Amino acid sequence: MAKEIELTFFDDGNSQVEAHGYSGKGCKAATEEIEKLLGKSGFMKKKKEYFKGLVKGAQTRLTARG
Amino acid sequence: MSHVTPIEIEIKDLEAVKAMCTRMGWRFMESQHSYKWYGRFMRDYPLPEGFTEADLGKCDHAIRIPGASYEIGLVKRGNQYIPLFDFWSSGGLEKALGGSKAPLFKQMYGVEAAKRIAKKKGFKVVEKREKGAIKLWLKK
Repeated sequence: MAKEIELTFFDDGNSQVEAHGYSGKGCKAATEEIEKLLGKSGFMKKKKEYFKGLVKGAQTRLTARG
Repeated sequence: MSHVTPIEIEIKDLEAVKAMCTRMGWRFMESQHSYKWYGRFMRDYPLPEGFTEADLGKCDHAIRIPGASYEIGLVKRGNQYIPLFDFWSSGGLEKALGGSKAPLFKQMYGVEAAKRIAKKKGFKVVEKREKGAIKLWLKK
């Protein structure tokens, strides 16, 4: 899946950012700077792909430790 | 997709404000130090946070909207600008901005500010309108 960032500006003045195609902490890093430049970030709702990336990282570390 | 984050927009980029004004047919009044309003605080609504009665009507820049007799004042506070305006209906701003909390101002500033940030970061930007919302798709 191609990596994309989707920003939505609603007509009630609210807005949100979504990352597509990223996993783990990579998605947060991809949007964090944009969020900071635009304003204050609210509560981050994590999708299952976020945890998938983190689990993969943990397994890699365990394997390397042997 | 792995996360969704709501953003509370803050007005930090004056060039984005200017771009918004151009797009909306509004006039940015650079260095205009007062904005038109009723002229007297009626105490019928709370003062904006961090402002006193004496601050009302004073600003660093202003925005003039065709058809509205009142103006929006932009007041610099720290690294951001706070928009101040009188939303009394006769002034025309409540209608022009989509309500007393100016949702149209927040939406259009957000779009223009995000486009500028995205382009600086090397993203290609595609803008689409979906019902009342405006979406920006950022790709590298």
